[in-house]
This record gives sequence, C-alpha cells and structure tokens, in this order.
Amino acid sequence: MKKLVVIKDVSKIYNPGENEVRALNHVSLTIGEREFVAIIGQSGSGKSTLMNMLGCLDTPTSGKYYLHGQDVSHMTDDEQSDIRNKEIGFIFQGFNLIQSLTALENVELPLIYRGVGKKERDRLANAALNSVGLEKRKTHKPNEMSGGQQQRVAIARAIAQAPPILLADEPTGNLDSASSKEIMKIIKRLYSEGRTVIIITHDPGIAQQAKRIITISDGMIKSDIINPDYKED
Amino acid sequence: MGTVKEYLKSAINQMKHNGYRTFMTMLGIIIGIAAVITVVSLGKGMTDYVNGEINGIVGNYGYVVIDSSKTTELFTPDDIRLLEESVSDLKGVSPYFDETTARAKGPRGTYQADVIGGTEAVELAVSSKVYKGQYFTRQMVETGQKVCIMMKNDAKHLFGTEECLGNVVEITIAGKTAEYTVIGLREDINSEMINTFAGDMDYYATIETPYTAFASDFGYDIDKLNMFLIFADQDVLQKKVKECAKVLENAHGLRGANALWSYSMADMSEEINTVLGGASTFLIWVAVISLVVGGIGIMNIMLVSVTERTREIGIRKSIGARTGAITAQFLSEAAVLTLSGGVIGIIVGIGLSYIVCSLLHFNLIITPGSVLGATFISVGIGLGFGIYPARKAAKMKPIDALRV
Repeated sequence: MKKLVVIKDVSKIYNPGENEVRALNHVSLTIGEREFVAIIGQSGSGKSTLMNMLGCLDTPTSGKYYLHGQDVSHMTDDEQSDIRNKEIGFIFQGFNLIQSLTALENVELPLIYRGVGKKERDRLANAALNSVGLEKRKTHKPNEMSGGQQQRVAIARAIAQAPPILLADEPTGNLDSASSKEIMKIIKRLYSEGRTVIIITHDPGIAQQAKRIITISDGMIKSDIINPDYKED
Repeated sequence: MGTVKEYLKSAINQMKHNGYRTFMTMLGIIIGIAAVITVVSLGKGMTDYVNGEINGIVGNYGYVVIDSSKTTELFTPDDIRLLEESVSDLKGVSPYFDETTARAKGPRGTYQADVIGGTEAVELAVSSKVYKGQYFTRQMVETGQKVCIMMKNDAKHLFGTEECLGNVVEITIAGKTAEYTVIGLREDINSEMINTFAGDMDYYATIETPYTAFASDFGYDIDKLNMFLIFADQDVLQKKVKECAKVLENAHGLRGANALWSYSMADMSEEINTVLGGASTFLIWVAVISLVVGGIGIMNIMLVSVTERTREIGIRKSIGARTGAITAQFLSEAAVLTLSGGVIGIIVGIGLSYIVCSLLHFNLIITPGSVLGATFISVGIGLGFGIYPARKAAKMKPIDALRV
C-alpha cells in the first residue's frame, strides 16, 4: 500500500504564550492510498484542526506533512491553493455551496480554477452530477434544493476534478437520517471506486461505517484500529 | 479566456443580486461621468459659438498698423500692390478709414452712421452677404467713384424700402457733406452676441465706401495711411499677416525699428480660447472631484461586499482559488460596476449636453475623445479603488473565511 498522507510529529498551537492552546500535540499519522478512515473525537478534541491540516487549509506550528511524498507543511498560499485543487475534494458539514450559482456552476468552480476548458468542464461537471443522481437539478440554485441534495452537489464538486483524497467534515451533520444514509452510501461507493476517503466526525454511528477508525482526544491520537465490524455493501 | 468570462458573469450576477445597492453605488460614477461629458461638450460648444460669432462680426482678417511714435513713415496705395505681388494666397489688402460719428441722410430721415472707407476687399470683412446689387469693384476704387454699400436695415431706415439701388445718401463728416449712390445691400448681421451686447445702443447705419472717394470728400490723404487690413483664410491668416508686416518693414526701411504692429483675429481667437479653456479646465476638475468621490463610494461598497461574502471567498479558496483569482474576481466586479456607471453616465451626459446646448443655442459637439476618455476613466476608477478591497479579499485565510 502506497503512502498518501504522512504526518510526522505535527503540533498546532493557537495563541502562543501564556494562554496557549495546543490543538494538536505531536501527532503522527500515515494514511495509504484507497483507505477509508474515520477520525472521531468530541468537540475540542482537535479533530477539526487535524482536518484543516490534512486539507492544507492550515499550516502546522511544528512537524511535517507529506502529501504524495511532497512536503506541504510550509507552502505559500498559492501553492496550497493548487494542492487543494489537485489533491483534495472537500465535503463540509454546511455544504458550502455558493448561493448565487446553480448546481452545475458550483461543480464547475474547481475545474475553472484548474484552468479546464469550457467543453471539458461541462462534461466533467455533468458526469459528477449524474453520478450523485442529480441529473434533474443541474440548473437549480442551492436554496431551491433540500439539504441532502445540496450535500450531493457538494460531493459532485469534490469529485469532479478527480482528486485522490475525499475529505469529509461531518458530512451528515446537518441532515436527517434518510438523507444521511443516502450520503453515506454515496461516500462508500466513491471509496469502492478507488478513492481515499477521510471522514471527520463526532458520531460513532458514522465512524462505525469506516474501515479504519482513529480516535482523537486532547490533540492526541488515542486509538487507531481496523474496524472489526466493517462490512462492504 | 474562459476564466475572465467567468469573472464577468459572476460580477454581473452579483450586480443583479444587489440591484438597488448597485444603482446607488453607480450613481456617483454616473453623475461624475455625465458631468465630465457635459462640461467638455459645453466648453467645446461655447468655444465654437464664440469663435463663430467673432468671425461673423469681425471677419477673417488681421491688421498691420504703423506706430506713429516710432517713425514718421506711412503707407501709400503702392504698398497695396506691393503686398498683392509679394505675398501669396492673400484674399485682399485694404486701407481702413472708419468714421463712427458720421451722419447719413436719406429721404426718410437722418441717422448716426459708421462710415468705412476701404478697397473691394472689405466685402470680406463681415460674414453677411451682399444680396442685392453688387459690391464696389477695384476699378470703382481706383477711379474714386462715389458709391456705397449699406445694410438691409439701413435701407429700411433711410429709404423706407430695400428697393433703393441707384438712390443717393447724403453723408456728413465734420461739416463736410458728400452724396453717395447706393449700389449694393448687405444682409443684416444677425448676431446674438451683437444683439446681446449692443441691444440697448441707439441705431446707427453702417455704410461702406471706396477709400479713394471717402478720402477726397472728407479731407484725408490717401498717401498717408497708417494701417492695412489683410484678408486671408483663417488657417493661414496669422502667418500671412506676419509676412505682410515683414514686407512692409523692408519696403519702408523699418527693419528692427519695431514700428509695425500686427494682429490677426486668429490671435484673438487664441486668447478667447485660452480664457474659455481655463474655464472648462476648472469645471472639468470639479467633475473629476465628483468622480473621485464616486470612486470612494465604489471602494466602500466593495469593502462591504468583501465582508458579506467572506464565506464565499473561503469556499472558493478551499476548492483551489489562488490569490490572483480572487483579486481578479473582485476587481472585475468593481470594473463592471464602474463601467456600467460610466456607460449610463455617458448617455445621461450626452442627453444633458443636448438639452443645455440647445437651450443656449450652441452646436452640440460630443467628441469621441471625451466619450472614450470617460469610459477609460470609469474603468480606471473601478480598478484603482477596487484594488484595496480585492486584495483584502484575496489575502483571507481560507479557514478564517470558512469559520464565519
């Protein structure tokens, strides 16, 4: 198994000085290609900081982060933007769609930033929306769709430019149980199609559906197990 | 490029989304651009109008005058021939006698008169045409015939009719009286400037005569002339008047004596243009200040927009937008905003110019330069004042922006 994510001795300290908060405390972690990982922790455990670190949205105070063998822990803003664009598909709890754009336009955005031409962009965005079952919602704006549909648009956006990693932050946190099930089903399918999926959650019910479960607490990894109850759908 | 199109589309979406606010923001730019266009067009119209009026009243001529305090030399009729032979492209040369305190007597009464003595070239001195009869010829000048030209209005006063050709008018200057036969009538000078400035003055007749007859009847010596009028096309007038002055200087041995003084209407037009130009420049600065105020309005609203859309910026950055992409997006929004304001401003400005110019009876002159200039200025304001908000947006950290 190839190593995709290698985190070595990473710490993140907010407000350095007297009132400093150690959100991550010397964390080391390796995730290989085609893994399905859940990172579970209570709020304040440092899981969001870890997610930001993994997603190249934040830089560590100390330690190293290698993504695809490349040191991404101390890059410029623009380099980080490019890495996020190429390597990572984000699925957020609050969907984070742009309200003024249609579903299709939202899905096209990362492709625009990558410089993909109009025709190819259309093709990829349409394929991504089709694969999450939104053939009929392409011209709808986010506020014309249900939460589950919005999250599916967000997933389509995350997979449109075919990044190796899907990073999902509480993907079902804002959804009812029926929609949750649907979203998890899609996420599992994406994993089975060959992507690396990392889910950050506080919900053991969600974490139980992953193949590998990493528990984090007080900015440190408490356990890292292969889920004995994992079952392929 | 596809991305630019995407920014413009997003910018237009954004404007539509905030229609009322967009309009209020653009208002500053609209007023500024409209003011610039109107002021420029008004300035041009005014210059055009004043020049036209000046040419209408005083014609396209210049003069060369001898300064009697520096020399005793005077011009003679031979000098007229000399100038005609040695200076090309002249439309005519004439001595100039002008007696403004004359009296003219016709069958219908006696009136104050301005009696002018000159050559046939004086026909060109005013823009109003000889519509009846003819102007006196060179031959009439050389043979000293007692003929004259007057205005249509003068004929009505003196004879009670325009049908007065061949009739005689009695001219009296300083106790000397002579009879002149009317051989031509000019159209009245219908100048608003004259009517405005001279409206309250008493009526007086304007009578033109051959200078030879004028001089012998009223006691002047035609071999002692102190000035010449020089007629030439407006665009070469200034040059020709100088050339004539030089020829006369040489002929009378006055080189270096600085005894000749020359002046052309072109000089006067330049002076007037300088004054009018100064006035326009001042007004343009006032308009520019309103543009700057408009630009600051744009900057403020863009800052508000950046704050409101922090989350959007965070989303865009998280999915891979570079700093430059966000900057470009907000800059194109500011540019589209000001450009639309500019276009509306141009339309309003042209409309306003039209109304003002037609109220003042000016010609409507909208130069492509002022329209293009206004367009570039408005886009420039968008880019200039948009840069700070755009950089502010682009520099946001995605996690901070997403946390909102």
